Amino acid sequence: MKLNDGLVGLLLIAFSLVLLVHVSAFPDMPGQNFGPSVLPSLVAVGLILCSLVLIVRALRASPRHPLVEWDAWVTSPRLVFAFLAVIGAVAFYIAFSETLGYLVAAPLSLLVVLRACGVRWIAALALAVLVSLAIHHVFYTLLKVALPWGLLIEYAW
Amino acid sequence: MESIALAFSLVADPYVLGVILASSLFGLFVGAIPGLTATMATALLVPVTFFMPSVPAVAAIVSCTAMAIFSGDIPGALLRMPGTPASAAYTDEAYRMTRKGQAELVLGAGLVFSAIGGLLGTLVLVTAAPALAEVALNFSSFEYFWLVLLGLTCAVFIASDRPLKGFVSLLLGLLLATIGLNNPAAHPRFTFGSDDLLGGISFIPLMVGMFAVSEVLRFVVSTGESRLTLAQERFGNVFAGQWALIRRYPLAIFRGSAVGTAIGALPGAGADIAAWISYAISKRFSKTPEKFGTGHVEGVVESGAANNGALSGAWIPALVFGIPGDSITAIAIGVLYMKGMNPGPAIFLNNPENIYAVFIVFFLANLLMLPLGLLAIRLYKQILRVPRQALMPVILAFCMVGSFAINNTAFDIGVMLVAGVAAFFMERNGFPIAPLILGVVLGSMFEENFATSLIKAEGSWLAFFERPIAGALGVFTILVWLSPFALRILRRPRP
Repeated sequence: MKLNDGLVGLLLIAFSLVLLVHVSAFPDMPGQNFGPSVLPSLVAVGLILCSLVLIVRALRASPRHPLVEWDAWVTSPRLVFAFLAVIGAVAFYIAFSETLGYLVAAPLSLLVVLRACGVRWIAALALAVLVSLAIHHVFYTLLKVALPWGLLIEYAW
Repeated sequence: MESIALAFSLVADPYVLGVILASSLFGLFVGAIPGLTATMATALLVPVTFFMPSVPAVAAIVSCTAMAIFSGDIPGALLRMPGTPASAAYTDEAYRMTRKGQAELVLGAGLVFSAIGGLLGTLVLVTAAPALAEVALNFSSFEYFWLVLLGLTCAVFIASDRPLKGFVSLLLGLLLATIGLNNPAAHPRFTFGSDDLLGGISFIPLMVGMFAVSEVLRFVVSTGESRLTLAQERFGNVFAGQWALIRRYPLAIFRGSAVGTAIGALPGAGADIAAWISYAISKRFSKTPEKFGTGHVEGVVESGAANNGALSGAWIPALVFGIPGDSITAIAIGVLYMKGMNPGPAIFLNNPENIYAVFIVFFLANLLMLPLGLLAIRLYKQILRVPRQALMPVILAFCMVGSFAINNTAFDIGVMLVAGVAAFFMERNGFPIAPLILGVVLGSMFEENFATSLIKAEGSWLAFFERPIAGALGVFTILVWLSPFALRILRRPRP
């Protein structure tokens, strides 16, 4: 998805204005002219200036670019589903790895991603389990990372 | 002298040598697969290096990236797809040579001159960095202010063909760096009540997201990628004829390594830009410029040396000032801080043996490249057989656990995911990622030195130029800012 540069500029200006309002509430440093709001304000001003140039260039461009250009994959339901599935699988892991445990949540989300990439069911199942176990071995056993056990806490090693 | 001996014993440790070998093989593999970059290899490696002592941690990054930059040449020559962006400059040339039946010559040239470029670049690093550190010991906040500003400026003007969008990226990076308590007043900025954000955005999950997860997303939505067919599958002796090339192009090799190292040392410009510029220089000064583009080895020799030289060069500002020369050293600086080897001129005083050990690893990695690179070329058909639709999900799983491992919090996996999706859309809209990363790395350093300098200056802007080095750096930085306007005026047709 490619947005027109002018549209990006408008969005950035809106964002910068919100930013300026937000940082104006930051406390000042007593007796000094450099408070925590200085750098964010400079960034906001810089973003507004850049955005103005982006907008002017976009208006001058001929032929005018469309407001939104959709990429080829957006028209393929399979690819859109795959894209969302990958994001969903990571989000699922973030939400449930603590309660379900790594050894439940990781193979499940890996399975979804493997399927989204077009790996066949049996291979995907086998890979999801084996790779999750291998990563568990490297990070939990060798590197001592506290991967969550969740449901499987009784079987923890 | 004592610290050099100590450094040798640090590297000679079987554990360190094992780490070097393993990360070299990893780098070769990742670099050789189209779509997986050297930066991504580094980002994937960092969660593991997090658990190592400092010397093997840095050794892993150094050897992995050196190998990945070389092995990016292999798919360039055989598939006409650069394995990493640093090989893109001469991919067409290399592929044409393969088509002419010179696959051995071009692969060998890539290998030999990568190693030579890397070694010469390392020599510069070893001599320049301590000398520079000597000078930098006297730097005050004014010098650092200008240096950081110059670094940020280079990132925008040199590292990107679209300075305006690069600047937007950079500003967004600076903004990300302001999140958390780390500011002059210790005011919680942009945390929105979240405890996880008090310490700021964790850098490694951010990098992993931007450089690895975005690539996985791009792969998932890629339409109709056909099967990869190699232009040639079996190879004779790739070292045959390389000696003749060294004798024919000594100046090009030297120039490529020197230009590459210099460009690498500029903040924000890394191996890929070095290769493009060196390829152009090589054509400009060649006795036979008409042969360029038809499958001529000269440009490959020069820019192949340049991109590996750039890798070493990028470490000069990284070690001496803590200012990354490219996105790889940006990650490396994060590792150095985590390992208590804080970059800065004092690094050569406090624990010189660690730095010397890093230098030794540089030499070792570039020498090890010759046998391991040969192996990678020989096994390339097998490497390519690893199905990418299975590899990408595995990479994603690794990214998730790696991001979690840094602080043991699922919040960081969220940072990774958001960064990955953001980078995916930013790249599609022409906003480069590298300036953003540089902004994040340099943000707090910039703010700190800016604040200190302003307080010291007591309201006088002239104070920023009063010290000689600060003044020179300041004037130079401002000249770089003005250069686009000056160029525009010069180029304007006269009435």
